[in-house]
Amino acid sequence: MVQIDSILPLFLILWPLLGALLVFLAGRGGLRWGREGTAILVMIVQLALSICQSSASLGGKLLLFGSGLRVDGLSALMGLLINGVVLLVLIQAARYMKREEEHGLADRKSLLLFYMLVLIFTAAMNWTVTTNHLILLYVAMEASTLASALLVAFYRKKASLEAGYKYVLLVIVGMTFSLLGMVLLFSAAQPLLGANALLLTHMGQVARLVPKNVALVGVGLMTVGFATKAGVVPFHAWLPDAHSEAPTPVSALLSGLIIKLGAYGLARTVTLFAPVLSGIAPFIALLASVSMLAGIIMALVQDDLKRMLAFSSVSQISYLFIGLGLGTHLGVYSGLFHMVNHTLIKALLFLSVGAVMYATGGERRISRLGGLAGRMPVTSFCFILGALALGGLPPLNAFLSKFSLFLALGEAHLWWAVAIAILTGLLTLACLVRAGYKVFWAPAAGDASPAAAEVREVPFSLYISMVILAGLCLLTGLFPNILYPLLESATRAVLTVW
Amino acid sequence: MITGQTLLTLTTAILITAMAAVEIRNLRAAAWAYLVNSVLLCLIIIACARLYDNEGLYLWAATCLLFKVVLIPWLLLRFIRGVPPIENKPIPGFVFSMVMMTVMIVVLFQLFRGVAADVAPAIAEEPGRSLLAGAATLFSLGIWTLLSRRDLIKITIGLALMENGVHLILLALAPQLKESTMIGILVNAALAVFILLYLGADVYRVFGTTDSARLSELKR
Repeated sequence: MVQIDSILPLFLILWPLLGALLVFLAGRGGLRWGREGTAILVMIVQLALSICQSSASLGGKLLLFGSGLRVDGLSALMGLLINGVVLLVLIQAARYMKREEEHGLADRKSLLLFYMLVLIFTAAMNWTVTTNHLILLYVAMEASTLASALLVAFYRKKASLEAGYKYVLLVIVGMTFSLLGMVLLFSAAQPLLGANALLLTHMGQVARLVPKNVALVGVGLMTVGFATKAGVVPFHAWLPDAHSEAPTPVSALLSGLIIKLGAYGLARTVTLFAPVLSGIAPFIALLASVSMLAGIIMALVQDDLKRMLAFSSVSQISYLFIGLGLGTHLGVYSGLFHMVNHTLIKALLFLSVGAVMYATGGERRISRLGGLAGRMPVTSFCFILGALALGGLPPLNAFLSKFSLFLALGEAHLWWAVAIAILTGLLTLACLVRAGYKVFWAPAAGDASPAAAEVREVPFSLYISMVILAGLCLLTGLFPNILYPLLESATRAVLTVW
Repeated sequence: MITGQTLLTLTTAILITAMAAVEIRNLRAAAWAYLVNSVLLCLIIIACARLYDNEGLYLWAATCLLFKVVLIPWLLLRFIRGVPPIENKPIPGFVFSMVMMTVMIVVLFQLFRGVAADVAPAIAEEPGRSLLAGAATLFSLGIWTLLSRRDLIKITIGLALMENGVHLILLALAPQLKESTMIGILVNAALAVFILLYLGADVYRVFGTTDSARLSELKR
């Protein structure tokens, strides 16, 4: 594979940081829509550069600082997802957060901080997916947690403060375990590989060289850390609270992107140990199966739309873990495929719930909503499309990723995991379609929110992002070959190490 | 003259100061105990630098001094000024907690020392083995603090102790790590403490307490 020296990976980290400064200046300048407009413009440039980076990475690996920053297929794919979703979320957030300001839930200062933190958070995520250094992977992931902590606690109310505190404490403690695992592996591999033992590109060699008992402890600790970041049961305690109490655009970022960083960490490290340690695949399959089933069962009993989606994320992220944990080509491919699909679908669903909340004055309890389809046709279409897609209904995108995952599990003879994954898929479909039916088509209950009677479709600036995401779900479902080059390149990047 | 015994003495001292930071209910005094714990951490790093003739570790000690002896205690002491001076009642009583921590120190230290050679073959010899065992025990004391304390400041001190344990583990297992990487880890640790205290201040303003058991809005 060709290696290209490029400054793009560094620019994609520094540009959002500079953007945060520009937002600060624009916000202080008192320009109308200054902070929102600047943040969106910064992200448009960021996405354009990310597209350039992705197309360049198909021709070879982009390197900077030796190989300190390195963009291969997986980094490029993650970069596209991160920057694309942040842009779409910011477009909706501009109007959504303005309404929060009008309702007294935010002020000028807190909104300025909001946009700055979203950009800093974007920089941290871009750093996470481009660093080639094992310990800096931990540092960058921690930075993303810290940057998003104040976004979770944005409203500074009892529930949001509790959620923010729990989020930051639990994820930091969990991630510390992954640091210990990394250091343990480095210590064992360093005498053989020198400083290269810290490079992600040498993890395959580390996996083969370190004694099995050390590898087992190291991988176990790293799995705990990444599973906490991803919100996999039993390390998920922070996730439902953080996702439901954060402002809805932040929920979309958390569910769409931040939990994927845990899966990314797993793909870069633990996956490479699967061929060496035969117990890893069944262990992660067991952990993920429990998580996917427990997550969807908890989602089924929720009355709060955001909390329901949060528990569904606990369940869906486990599909990624199970695929990546297999360490086979098909397993990794299907895990990454589902990562793309879940990112698009969950961002779509959270933004749709945001639209419902915008239109109904903040109502998010299923029992208090009903009959909105006639008054919110675009939002109802987007939500139900997302619900059907997440449930794995053909010809929508998650059908193919789930189906390829079932094949990968079958290939590994984990038939019990196939059965659990299929059952979870059916329960997901039932859970989300039921919620969609109740909110949009069933007649409003007697105790429905008074505001629901005067509901109107949200403005164009709120639903454009949803329409784009819904279009992408449909497009990638009907024409999955569009994603093939990127996914294949990302899979090879995971499994082929120097 | 620095010997392996010096390192062992410092490791014992760091565990004792950790116990003090956890058990002293006056928050200001607990923060000072944490400061002493961090000073001992710096001394251990310097001792290792001398013992193993690793000059890079002096930079580790300097950054550790800046972040863990100056910055984090300053943040803690500054925040403590705005809240009641005595810690909210911990979950276990004083006697039980002391017994538990003593048992943890004795048992875990021996346990970690026993398995050190298996999980970290690179440091199978003394004093590295005891240093790693002490570091893992300090980390475990931090976890114990998180599990047994209800006061938000004590929980933050627990996290900071855990981070000190991680620092010692890094010292035992990866003294070759570059300074820039260590700075990244230290900045994260300091930021984590800052954000926990910042949110803690808001919690105190909104809930009127720093008792984490009272954060029950979401238990439904």
